Formats: sequence, C-alpha cells, structure tokens
Amino acid sequence: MALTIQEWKPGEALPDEAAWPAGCAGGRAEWEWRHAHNPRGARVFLAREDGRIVGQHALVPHAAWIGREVVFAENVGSFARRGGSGLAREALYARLGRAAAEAHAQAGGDLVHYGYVAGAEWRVVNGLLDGEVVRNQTALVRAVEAGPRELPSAVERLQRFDHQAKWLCDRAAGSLPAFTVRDEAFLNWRFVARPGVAYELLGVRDGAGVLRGYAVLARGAFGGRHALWVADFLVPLAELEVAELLLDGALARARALGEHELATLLPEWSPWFEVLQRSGFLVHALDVFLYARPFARKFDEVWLRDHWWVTLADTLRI
Amino acid sequence: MRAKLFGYHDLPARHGDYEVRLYRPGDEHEILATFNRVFARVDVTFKARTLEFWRWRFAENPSGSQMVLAFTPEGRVAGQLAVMVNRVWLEGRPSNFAQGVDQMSDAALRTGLSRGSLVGVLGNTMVNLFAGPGPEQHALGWGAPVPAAWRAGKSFARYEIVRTQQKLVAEASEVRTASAGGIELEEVSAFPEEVAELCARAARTHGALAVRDKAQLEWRWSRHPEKRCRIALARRAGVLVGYAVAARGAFDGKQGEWLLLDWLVEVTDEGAGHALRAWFAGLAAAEPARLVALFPDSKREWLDFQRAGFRVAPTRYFLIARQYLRGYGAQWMNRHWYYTLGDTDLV
Repeated sequence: MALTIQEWKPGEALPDEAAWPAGCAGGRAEWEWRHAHNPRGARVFLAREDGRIVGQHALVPHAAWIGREVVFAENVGSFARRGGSGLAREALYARLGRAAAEAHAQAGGDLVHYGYVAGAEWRVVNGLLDGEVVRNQTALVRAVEAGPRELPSAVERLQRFDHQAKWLCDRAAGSLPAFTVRDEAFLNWRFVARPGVAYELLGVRDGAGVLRGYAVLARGAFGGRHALWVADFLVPLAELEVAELLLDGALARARALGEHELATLLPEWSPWFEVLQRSGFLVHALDVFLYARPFARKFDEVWLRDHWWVTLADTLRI
Repeated sequence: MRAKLFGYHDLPARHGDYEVRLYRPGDEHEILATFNRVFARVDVTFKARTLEFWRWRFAENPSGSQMVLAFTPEGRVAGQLAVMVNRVWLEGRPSNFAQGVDQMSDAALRTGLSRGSLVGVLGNTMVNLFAGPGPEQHALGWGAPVPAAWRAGKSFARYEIVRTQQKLVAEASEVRTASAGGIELEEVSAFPEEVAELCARAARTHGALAVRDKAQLEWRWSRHPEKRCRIALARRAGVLVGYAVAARGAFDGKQGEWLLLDWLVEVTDEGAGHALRAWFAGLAAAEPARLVALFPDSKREWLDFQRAGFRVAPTRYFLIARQYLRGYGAQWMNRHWYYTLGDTDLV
C-alpha cells in the first residue's frame, strides 16, 4: 500500500488508462495533448498506490513575457483521492502541489501557477496551495442582434497560425507588462491541435498579406455562462478598424451558429475593456475566480490583477 | 505558510512594554496624535484629521464602534485596530458586521517584542473579544483596503477577497434616461422615518444589507462633518420606493467626481431607478464632473447602470472579509451582500 509521487515527463509512456480512477482522466487524447504535446513541456505529478493513480497535480505551462521570458502554468485537472478521511485526501492534494512547486518553482523556474476555480475547489487551492484571488472573473457579453451571417469580406478564416503570429504578438502585446507569448507553436497547439474541440480562427491581413489581427472563437460554457466566446483576440490598439472587422466577423459567426450571446474575457485595465463596452458589451459577473500561486513576492496576485493580459487562451477550461 | 494568529482574550493585557486595552473616553486625543503622525508619513495628500471628524465617525455612529489600542508606558498610542459596526439584516435576522478602519502602528514607538505585527495582535484580540455567531457579536469582519493593507491583512488576519472591486463611470451626456412613470422625486435635507420600511423590504431581497434607518442615514450623510450631500427620495403613490445620496468628492485617486454615495431602490420598481439615475446625472449636467457609482456585480443595479450608459472600470480596491458565522463566508457575501460606496469608509 506504499504511496509514491512521481513526475511524469514528456517522452515517457503515457499512464496506463486502466490506472486512472473513473472519471478523472478527462480522456486520453486530451491528456496527451495537454501534457505530451504542449510546446512548453509538462508539469504532471502522479500519486500511485498499488499501481493505481490516486492523485494528480497537473499544470500546463506557457511561456510568459514580463520583460523577460518566464513560465506561467495553469493548474487544470488536478485531483486527489477521496478515500480515507477528509484530511488524508487534503494532505495528498497538498503533497502533490508541494512536489510540483519544489520541482519547478525554485529560483529561475515557474513564476506563477494559476487557475480558474469556483465553490469548494477554491477552498482547496486557497487552504492547501495558498492560492489567492487575482480577480472575481467578469465577462464582456453582448447580445447577438439580427444582422449579417457572412463574414465581412476583409475577414478570412485561418486554418492555422504561421510565423506572422509572433510578429503580431510583438506589435500588439509587446508593450504589455505580462502576457503569454503568442507564437506559431503556442497558438497552433492551443487552438488547432486540441482533440475534440473546434475553434474558429478569424484573421485580418493587410494588402501584403501580413496578419494585422486575429480572433479565436469557441462555443461553450465558461463560468456558468454559455456563449460564443472570443477565446483570444490580438490586435494592435492603434488599429481599431481591424478590431471592428473581427468583431463583425464574430457576430456573423454567432448568428450563423444560432448563438444568442458573444462573450469574452479581458483584464479590466486594458483599453480594450472600455472599447468593447462602447461597442455594446456589458460586464457580467461569472461564477469563477482567477487565482494565482505566485513564487516571487513582487509578482503577487495584486500585481497580476493589474498587469497580466489574460484571456481564455490562458485556460484550457474552454 | 500563513502567519500564526495570536490575540488576547482578556483586556487589559501586557504586550511587551505596552498595555493593550479597549478605548476609554478621552483616548481620542492620543489616538488622533498617532493617526496624524502615522498617516502623514505615508500619504502626501494627507490632511490632519480633526477631533470633530473623529467624534462623528466613532462616538456618534448609531451602530457603534470598537477600538483595541496599544499604549506605551508614557501613555502614547503605539497601535490601533478600530472597527465601525454595521447593524445588518442577514437573511432576515438582525446581525452585525465590523468594518476595520484606521488600522495603524507607529513604528517609531515600537520596541522589543512589539516589533512584530502589532496590528495583527490587536486585530486578533478584536476577534477574540467581539466576533462570533451571537446576535450581538460581529458575524463578519470586513474592509476595503488598498493593496498594501491587503497584503498585510491576508497573512495576519486571514481575510479573504469577497470581490476585486470595480466601479461604474459615465459622463452626464452618456447617461440614457427612461420613463419614470408615476414617480414623484423630491430633493430633501433629511430622511423620513419610513426609510426603515424601505430598508426592511429590501432586506427580504438581499441576503445581507446594512440597516438604513433614519438615525443611521442622517448620521452618515446629513451630519457628515466634511461632506455636503445631496439626497433625493423617490415615491410612488406616496410610498417611499427609493432614495439616492450624492456628493462631489474624492475616490480611488480621483478628485471632484460626482459620487453616488448611497442608493436603495425597491427591486421591483424600475421607474424609481430611472428617476433617481436621471437626478444623479442631472447633478453632473449642472456642475460638470464624471459620475461614479459602486455596486456589487451580483446585484441588478450593476447591469441597470450599464444599460443606462455607465461603463465598468477598475479600482485599486479589494473588498475583503473574514467570517465568524458559519455559512456566511466571502463567497456567500460575493453573491448576496448588497452594498454601496457609502457602506465603506472610502468616502
């Protein structure tokens, strides 16, 4: 009955499907995509007992830029066994989280572990991982009125991202204080290669074919709200006309898909937060918190609230 | 790891060289001396607090206040944890919340053992003495700190975030008015007794709501020593269905904005909301300044104001709380507690 905690690393065999407790694996293809194919690697710690997996601390790392490249990693899919007393279960959850921090959050390692949680899950990450609220998440939501169902002619569907994504990221996000680096590898892994999820990629190019902005659309529920979500959006602030084209394109897709609401998440300090409100979006409360477990005093939850450009691209919950 | 909580269960008590005890009449002179010394060091815009303001805030509050103080052997105040009590309707039952205000410790007066978190010790003493599930006890400790105070509070007092607070802003020209059919609006200088009935009806809708009766509102707004507040009442068929309080003032680092200090409207009466919002916008039309309001994003006012042309903007504030009554924690408060700018000590 010895309990072992070990880190799983890309390149190793995937955990045997039969070893997972019922309902915890989230699908083998999804697990493999999250942890084996992420261009930034993996942060997975598995607790095993008698060959069976009884707990997992799973983080999905992203390259983030804060004036230098660091790692922000989303905690998604973590669990610990329910067997034994409540305290025993909590101890395993905490032990797994501690193992991940000890392995990856030392000086020069991961800067922030974070996630979206609600209800009892918040008690666990606050009580056992010292997670703190970055913000009570709100969403910008716009009702989809009658109108065109076709994309504007200047908006094209992208099949995948290329090297121009990084150019756009440098122009649109380069001056932001903290953001996940949007390059070809990240965006294609995040929005093209995910098994079982069909994101729509809209782009606007200039006359020379250079990408001026993109929006990624996803149907589904987040924070208790069903909508057509703009899961990611990147346009230089000076190019409002590109944003308007992408917004028109997103509304057209929402109409064509029969969705009643278009929604997105943006940090409230961003000028885009006001721009979208002036375009008819209202700010609604969601049922989730964004929490963080920072590993450097300066970059605590207050700093992250006020500086981190975070969108739905940063969470695998949609 | 979080800091271990320590506080005294009986006062007075010795804490290093200090005597820790509750406020006694006459202490306000030394409290003010320390307050004006400590806050002048950290706030370049600080204006010395007057005895008149102190008496209004702490001695005259109809809901009460409590102060735990640390005195040096020379009788100077080295630290304070003060709360303003809010009488509250909590799911229909009378209860009390305690808003932490004016927390301070004077580093120049701290020595030896007391160099640790004196405010933390005083805060936990306050909890030991006054917090709990009883109807006379504090069911919730709360505050609206700036980031530096939050960083201290979370480790020493186990506060949790109820909400990262945002505000609603608009220029007068951006506010859309709608029919207020049947509403009679009146600007007044005093609140009627029947405001308590409006509050009692509202308490059936909101899970938690600070008592807004004539005594409380007149203390808060009519007798405020530094604000000249405008008060409007909305009646339908003679029955009070809403009120609003506004004044020019400073909030969140901005000066001279029109602040919606308080607002309570019958939930079912949209017309009253329209009429009072038009009155508020009218103040800024006559005396131009940006309009600012603050509501929980879980309440209908949050969306009503946006639909009327207000936009959401960030503030630097957190609303934080520590529960002393099981079942009424930060997440519950996030969904059910109705408050306005005037519930806080920020205005």
